[in-house]
Amino acid sequence: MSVILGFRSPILVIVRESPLRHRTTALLQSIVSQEPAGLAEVVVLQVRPGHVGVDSDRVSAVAAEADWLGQAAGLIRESGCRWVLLPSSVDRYLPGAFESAVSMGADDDEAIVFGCHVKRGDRSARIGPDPFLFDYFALLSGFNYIAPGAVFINARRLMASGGFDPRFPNAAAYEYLLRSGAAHRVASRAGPCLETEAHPFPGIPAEYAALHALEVSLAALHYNRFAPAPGTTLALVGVLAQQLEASRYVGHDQRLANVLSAGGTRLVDRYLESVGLIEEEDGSSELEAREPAAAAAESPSAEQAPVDRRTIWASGDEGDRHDGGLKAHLRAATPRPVWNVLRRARRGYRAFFAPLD
Amino acid sequence: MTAAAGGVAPWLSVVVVGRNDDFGGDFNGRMMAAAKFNHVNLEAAGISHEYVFVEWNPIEGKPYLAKIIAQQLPWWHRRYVVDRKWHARLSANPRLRFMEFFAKNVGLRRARGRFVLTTNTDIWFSREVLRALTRLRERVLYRAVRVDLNRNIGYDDMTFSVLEHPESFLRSNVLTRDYYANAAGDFLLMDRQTYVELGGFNEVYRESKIHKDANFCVHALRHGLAVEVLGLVYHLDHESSWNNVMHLYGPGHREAPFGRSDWQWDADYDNEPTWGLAEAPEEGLAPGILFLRCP
Repeated sequence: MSVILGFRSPILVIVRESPLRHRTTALLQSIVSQEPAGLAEVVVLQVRPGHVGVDSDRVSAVAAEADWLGQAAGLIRESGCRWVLLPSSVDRYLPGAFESAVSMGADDDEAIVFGCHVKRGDRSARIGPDPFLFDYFALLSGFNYIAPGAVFINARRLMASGGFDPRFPNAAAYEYLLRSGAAHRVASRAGPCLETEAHPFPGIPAEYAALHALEVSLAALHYNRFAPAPGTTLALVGVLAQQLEASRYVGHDQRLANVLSAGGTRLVDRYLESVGLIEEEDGSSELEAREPAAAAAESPSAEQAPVDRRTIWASGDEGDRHDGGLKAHLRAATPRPVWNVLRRARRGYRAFFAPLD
Repeated sequence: MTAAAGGVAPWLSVVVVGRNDDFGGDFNGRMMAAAKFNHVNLEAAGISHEYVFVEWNPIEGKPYLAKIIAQQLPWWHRRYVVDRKWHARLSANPRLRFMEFFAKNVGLRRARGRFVLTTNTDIWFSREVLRALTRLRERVLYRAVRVDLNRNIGYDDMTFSVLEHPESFLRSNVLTRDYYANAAGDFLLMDRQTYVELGGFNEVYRESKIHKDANFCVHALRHGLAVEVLGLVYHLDHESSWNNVMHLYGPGHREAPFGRSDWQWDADYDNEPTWGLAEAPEEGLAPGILFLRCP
């Protein structure tokens, strides 16, 4: 018997079960607690038999298949849903998120993207442009600020375009936005719909960061007609270097890993700056505050306007996008050949203090 | 496809060691879960095998783990319990609680498989290792990369999907020159004849169990064996894992219960012909369990 039999809700949520059971349980709880009830139904793709952690007649489970995107496409076709969500195990939907999407009045074929809050330790941060909007060219440049779970993918538009691309099982939502976002309108809603983590990609658990980085690089390469995108390049190099820390090496390999992983952290931080990650002033978690998403959808207050944001949305000297203040003035005042000599000297100075051998 | 006692010798002997000491927290639970998983998958792969367990320095007053195995895993083929007096006689370090590689030598001596895998009780075999086990050759030291998994995934209802899942991953113990010895104790596979010719693991040095696995890799390579890496094996992280305790106990780990680490493990060795308690009298303890008495 199909798990989708009797499906009636506008939203189908497909959850890939995590081997860390508490993650899946917390995600499911944030879904089944959405009001009004009945907006969404959930299918859990299980990696092991047993209880999924939440008792609800709107949650069903099937064994995960190797081709999980193909499996998802089958479920979407059977369900007749309007939107489909692909949250990750670290996403937690905020109260009112689903109602906010359904009540938007978006066109039948439109996808909807929301912002998200990112938990960083015990602090919370915003990510993306302010005010929030769907910026296709930011994604095309590889600066992805949209958590996959915050993309309400229009099911009819998705299936008409061929479904998910099986080449990107760990970047399905990003690839879909690149594929459909230029030709078809994507509605956006100011205000977060979920709280998640960013390592550095919002909504991607740390364990998936390298896989996701590789796949988004490949997707961006394809959609940029085989020219590397700056954002994915920055993130890919940073993530791969940073994740060397996870393994034990010996001798020269360990020294190289130490140098790379330290540099990787700096690159990852630069990527987070570029996608507009800004810590909230009060440091509180949106989920803890339990603010309705409808209230957060109003225009952000003036006192949150950033002063100096090193992001792709910041205006200023195109050649010094990531620098501000004194350095920008010095560069503008220094002849280019002299500036290049100074930059090489600085690199040599740094290499002297951090050699590989 | 397992070999019955006294019947045709199996293709593979799997030798594991331990005692009923709750090592790393819930040692017995992890052991039973891993053994069940591997046994089922070895059978499914059509690999005739026997499981050999050696209990070393059993704890006084606690049931033998060998008996617990007999109750919970009745398919388990052979079990040995080594008299505590052997540990007292052989150990040169009063802090050393468990002589892992002496215990593995006991199992090695008595294994009947054409190939012998010495491994540990909390190791799950990957799909590629299981596939590779059907096409082994003599005089090759087979190794595997140990991937440590997040302990919070638990071990019940384990599946390949869980083992291979990115969110299960904790760290990888990569293999590098010259000896490919990282986490070697969790996977050392060789034909039995060569294992016996090499004399098993080092019984000359008796103060520690640490780096005895790497020392064996040195020993094997110095005797001209080739090294091949078959794939991954998975290890559930726990408190007492080397990666979690190696920063404790000060330089050289001289106060550690597993023995010191600052010995010359890259030197070769030559065991006595009686290695592996070859001449220890064996007495029946219970059905399927032999007791190696210390005279």
